[in-house]
Amino acid sequence: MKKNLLMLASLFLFGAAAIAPLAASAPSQDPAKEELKLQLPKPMFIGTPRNIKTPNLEVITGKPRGPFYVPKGTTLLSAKKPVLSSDMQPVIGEVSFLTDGEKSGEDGYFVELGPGSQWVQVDLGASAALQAILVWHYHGQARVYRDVAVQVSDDKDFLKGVTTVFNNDHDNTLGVGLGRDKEYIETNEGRLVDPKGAKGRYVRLWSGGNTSNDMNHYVEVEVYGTPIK
Amino acid sequence: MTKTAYRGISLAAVAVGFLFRFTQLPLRPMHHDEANQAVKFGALLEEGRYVYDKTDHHGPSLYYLTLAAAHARGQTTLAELDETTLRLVPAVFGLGLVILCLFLGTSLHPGAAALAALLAAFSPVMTYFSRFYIHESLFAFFALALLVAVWRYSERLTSRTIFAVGLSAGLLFATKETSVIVLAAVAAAIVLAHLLQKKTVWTPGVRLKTNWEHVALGLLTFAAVAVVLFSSLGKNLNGPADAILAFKTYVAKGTSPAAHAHPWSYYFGLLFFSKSGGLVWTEGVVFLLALVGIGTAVARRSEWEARQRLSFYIFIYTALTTLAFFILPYKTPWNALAFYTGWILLAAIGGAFLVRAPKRKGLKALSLAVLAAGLVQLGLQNYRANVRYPADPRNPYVYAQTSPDFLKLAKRVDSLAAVHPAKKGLIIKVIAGPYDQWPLPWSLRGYKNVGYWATVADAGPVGDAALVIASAENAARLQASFGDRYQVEHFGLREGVLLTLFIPATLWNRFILSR
Repeated sequence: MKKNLLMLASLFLFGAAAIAPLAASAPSQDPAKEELKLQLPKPMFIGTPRNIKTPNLEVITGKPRGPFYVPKGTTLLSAKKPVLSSDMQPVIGEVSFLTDGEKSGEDGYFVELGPGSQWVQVDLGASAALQAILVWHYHGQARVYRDVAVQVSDDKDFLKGVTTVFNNDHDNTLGVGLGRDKEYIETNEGRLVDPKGAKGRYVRLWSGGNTSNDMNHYVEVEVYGTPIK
Repeated sequence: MTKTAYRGISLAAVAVGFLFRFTQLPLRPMHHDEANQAVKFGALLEEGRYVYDKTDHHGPSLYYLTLAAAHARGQTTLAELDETTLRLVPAVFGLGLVILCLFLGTSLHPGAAALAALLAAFSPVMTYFSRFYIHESLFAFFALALLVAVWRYSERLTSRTIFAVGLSAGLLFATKETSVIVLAAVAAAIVLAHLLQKKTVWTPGVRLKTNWEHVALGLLTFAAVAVVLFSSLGKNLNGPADAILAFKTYVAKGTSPAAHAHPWSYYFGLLFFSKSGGLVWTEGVVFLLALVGIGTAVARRSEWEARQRLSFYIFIYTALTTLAFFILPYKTPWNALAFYTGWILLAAIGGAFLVRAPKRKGLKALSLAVLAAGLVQLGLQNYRANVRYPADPRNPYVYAQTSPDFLKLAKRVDSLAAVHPAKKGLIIKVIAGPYDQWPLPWSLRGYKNVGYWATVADAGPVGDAALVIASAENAARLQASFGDRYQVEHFGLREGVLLTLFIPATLWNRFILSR
């Protein structure tokens, strides 16, 4: 027994000591220059932060959205309309949740699509002049969805006649062009996109994960517009 | 149990313990607390400066032991350090705890000792905090070392064993302030085991006699270790006194915690059953086996009498430490390790009993099959906790953990610095409260000009900064004044906590063109 213990102890010490040293290289310096020493405040050492487990519904960006004006006769076109997705086998929920009218931030009301870049597409049934698009990704906690883009087209494959009405994919991860719109923190107000009357039957919404995980979520999408006569 | 079987199980335990503890150490993003410890250690590494802080950050043992790991890997500055070097230290002590279980073999039962090593090796929670650069894995190791050493001393009253008692107690004390709970529990357990032996028909075994030379040797060893470490190897003579004064702070923190108060049942849920987002977590097999172990420890069975006193000693220790940590309102997942080690030992005693007690071979085989199934379940959960979901909030051991998304922020800063003329000398201003700053000081350790302020008002003008990183409330103010001159990106710091990176348009355009 003692021999066994000694053997194991030796094995343990050997394992602990057998760590390969790494070579360290010194940075090169221009002899004609000297380093400018800046005096910047150091970080504050502090204990363990609070472990947040409860939903955070606080509107971090502050002010509530003001009124948004649309042409008379504008109606909700997306209610109960069919939805397609790049991930037709969602991890949680159904893609039909997008147009079912339920906007709660609780479990059971959102659809979770796979990781990375994914899209959902609402078929309005007929081409329309779009006046407002509202999207709720997930507002159970403060998070930002990345690479959010909203496109409108009469082509269900989005190969021609595509109008991009919102795009905050500022480094073109999606490949639909550099986005100039800002990222935003999800709230229960949803994000209102102004399509400025862009015409189309199909609305495609992109996202590329979020600040909490790599998955993509939608609680609801509402598309408002006026029919084209 | 045959020698070959014992040897085989022991080696398997060490191999499994090694595999779970030493592979993919950088996988989980650095936690706020790990980064705090790492930056404090950086001062010791670079300048030889360490001063015990009686208000936070626990004892000096972690830092001095990390010196060995850093030197072994040839790292001499904070910038050169990496997650692997830091986490090697708790990993070594986590594996050490597995091996230490085997040292109970001669006194307990080889089968129980080997099973204890296996359970410790497979345990998801023991593994999780053996891969975490904080004091807990060291604390659990020194607590078990003390438990074993005190028992050994009661068996053999030698100067070597009392030296081991003093050494382990000193290192335990120099690791965490909660050592007082363990020290008191061990003392109470050995005294109770001795007294109850006297009052029952149990055969003699625990022999406690006062040997003043040994008492002096034990106390001197304890004091020498504590004084040397708390005084920063003689450089800070206030350190040992601060170690005593610290108890005032820690008693207040433990009994009236501002942020980490949890109900008494918190650890029970954490260890034995929790469910989140479709994932179920349990080390229930340890709990069930431990109940059998407690039964053998307190019941009088002639077959077990020779080892029963040790089982009883472990039971008292486990009950007292569990009670203490359950009662204290301040609770965090890592605080479970010291008392959970006792549960693992009791589970091993119970498991060994289930294999030894049945006379029929079929029942023995059934017991072995149940134990094997339990280990497989622990192993699968271990993989899930430490490899698959090491930073997922659904993992019960995840507590105020840095989000993996934070790594994207660090990567983005690196990419932007690469196209900035000053490279890693660019000025970065971090405007966030102290709870929202970490682990930035660790991630930005390679950058020379990083400043930290709590509010926009404290930071003053930020126009000279190449990059600004701000917490949500500060970001809202900055965004109003920056307008469109900055590209804005958001990153997750922790669950529900965001950081915003402001990048001047010129730098952003340069970055986009470089892609």
